Amino acid sequence: MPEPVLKWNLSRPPTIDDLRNLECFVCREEETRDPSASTSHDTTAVTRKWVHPCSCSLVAHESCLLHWIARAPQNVSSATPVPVNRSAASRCPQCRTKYVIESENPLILKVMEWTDGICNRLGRVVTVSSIVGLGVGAGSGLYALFTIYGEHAAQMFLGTEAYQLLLSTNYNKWPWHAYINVPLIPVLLLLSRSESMNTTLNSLYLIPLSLSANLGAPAMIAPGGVAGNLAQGIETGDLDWLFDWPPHPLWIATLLPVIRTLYFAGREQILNKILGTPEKTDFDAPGGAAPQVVLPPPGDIPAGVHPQVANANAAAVDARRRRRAGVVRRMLWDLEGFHARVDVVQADGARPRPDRAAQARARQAQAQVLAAAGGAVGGNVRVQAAGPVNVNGAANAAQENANPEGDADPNAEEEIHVHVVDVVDGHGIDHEDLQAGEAAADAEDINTIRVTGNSLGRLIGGALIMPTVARIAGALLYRIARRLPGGFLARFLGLHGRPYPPGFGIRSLDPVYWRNTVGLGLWLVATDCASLLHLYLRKRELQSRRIQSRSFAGMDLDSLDLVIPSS
Amino acid sequence: MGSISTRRLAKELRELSLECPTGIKILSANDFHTWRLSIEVMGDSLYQGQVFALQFIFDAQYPIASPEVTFVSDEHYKAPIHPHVYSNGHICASILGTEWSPILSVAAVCVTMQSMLASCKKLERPPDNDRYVRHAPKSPKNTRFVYDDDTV
Repeated sequence: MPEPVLKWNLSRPPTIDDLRNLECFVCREEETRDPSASTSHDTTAVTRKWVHPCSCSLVAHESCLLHWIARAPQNVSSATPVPVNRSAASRCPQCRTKYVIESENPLILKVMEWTDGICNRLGRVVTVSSIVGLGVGAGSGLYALFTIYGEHAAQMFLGTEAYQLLLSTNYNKWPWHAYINVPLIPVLLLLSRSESMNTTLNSLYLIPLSLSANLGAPAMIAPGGVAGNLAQGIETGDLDWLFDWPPHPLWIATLLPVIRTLYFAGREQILNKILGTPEKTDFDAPGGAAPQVVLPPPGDIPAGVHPQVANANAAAVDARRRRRAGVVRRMLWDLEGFHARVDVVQADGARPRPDRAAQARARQAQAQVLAAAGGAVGGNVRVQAAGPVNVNGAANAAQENANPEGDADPNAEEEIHVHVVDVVDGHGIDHEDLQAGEAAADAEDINTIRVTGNSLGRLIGGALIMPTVARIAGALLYRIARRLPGGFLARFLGLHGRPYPPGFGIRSLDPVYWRNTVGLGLWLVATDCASLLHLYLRKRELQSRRIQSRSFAGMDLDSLDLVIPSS
Repeated sequence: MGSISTRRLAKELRELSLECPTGIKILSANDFHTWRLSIEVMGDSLYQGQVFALQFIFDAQYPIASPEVTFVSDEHYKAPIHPHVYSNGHICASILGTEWSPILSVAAVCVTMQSMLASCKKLERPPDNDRYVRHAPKSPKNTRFVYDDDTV
């Protein structure tokens, strides 16, 4: 601008709206605002909101800055977009002014985040103690350790009486299969938590089933001295046990999978409704962005670096993906403001490329496109496409753009396949772009989910504590039922004595298993509700973030390229 | 068309081809994934007359994620001998890790590397060079460096 610089002539300090040339310090895109000639360098950027959040001359698109704040590479240790106050990028990189960010952040969300933090810390403790425990166990007999836990779990869940009936506290009376089944209980519980659906209750019901001998033949009641039978007290051909209240464990074990399936279908619906998150888009996309567990060899893990569950490219699809998807699914709901990624792979990209060197070569022609990053906050873009798409035009344009000398990359001439790996909406799912800073060097690592020491501990601890939770919840229900007038709950829980005399097996005992089942069921529903609420609040917080713009008061106004209003 | 990362890299490349900082030249930049630039320390320094090459690898998250920057160490170029540069080319510099910010750019990183070399007092490798190089991950971004020296 060769013209003489006009002085700012208004009494108020100039603001972001008074700047003529804006350049976003994140994406480096420019916008020119000239009242006389309303031209713009970049038509796509016209509608995006600009902010001047600090005390220096830096300005940025609000969406760019929010993206940076939510997932600065410094925050790699966190699995989710960090709360603003913990973001390393919450200050201006130049003048260190703290950004003022407003968002809907109710007290309950803060409490939940805090609780989450505590659980994470507990998880770490569990991880460490599990490792120590396993170490000790390996020496003194993992088997004994597992057996002891199995006994404990069974007693917790069934109550002492039923445990005595079905098994025995005397090892000598154990049937041979109890020596296999009991130590398997902790393993079972752990597996039940890592599947895509929480099958904890089902697994707990495998306890009485597995403890009892002669499951399928009610007539063959175990002779005295040997552990009792779950089906004891049921005559062959007699069906009245089906109408028992509380329901017989065998009956519950039969019905649970049905109930669970219905429950999870309902929960999925609610989840999708609340979060607006498309189901399975990201992992079931054609071309397979399959989640894959990549565990570095133990010796190679530097301190503080965790095993990673990586979302691999088509090349790395392997048989484990479906099972692993479960692990990922649970963590998937961690929110991100936006996430849209298109992988452009060379025509031969579909063939498996097991070695990294080859992958690196392939990447020569591969452009990873992060689309719609800015404007999509809160938007609901959902694109799904696959198969050969000719993006030569775009790729070439980009290449030429980059290379004014015309030194175009020969690879760009080739036919290119586009795998839309996942284009998830504004409520996005991916969560590990967060640590792109650390892991994204390899294409296969771009979408990485970490199993941290914390989350592993939470998984193990959460699984192993389930029988105890069931016991406590059951005991709580028992107390409530005793005090509740009307006795409805007491009848429901079967606290009024059983119609069967001793000798009818579990039918004649105080149905501890039943109130524990109900209690644990309620607990699981309650935790689901809580985590749903947590996700919803977090999503709302993330979407409602707005950065407060400051005026340029206190700055050398002559250094700014201002649009001076003609007075 | 184009993502934020490619648009931004295209712009940086445009600016670099118009005017490179002194001592810095583009060796190759044929795509938006890998660039190589040569750097030379101007003026008086321990590296007088030596030319090094920096390799930048970008991912789709650039500039939110830092680029992976290493000194090239092959038959043509050698990594400079410097207390913060490992013999495999990995660089221990906070701006490439925790201190990265999108306000930085390829040019800014190159200039910072130049001044890091220029201020070097003694030609030596990092004390743990051998051990590190033996176990180093392929990408220095998978290393957690401890930045202990604020003078650079």
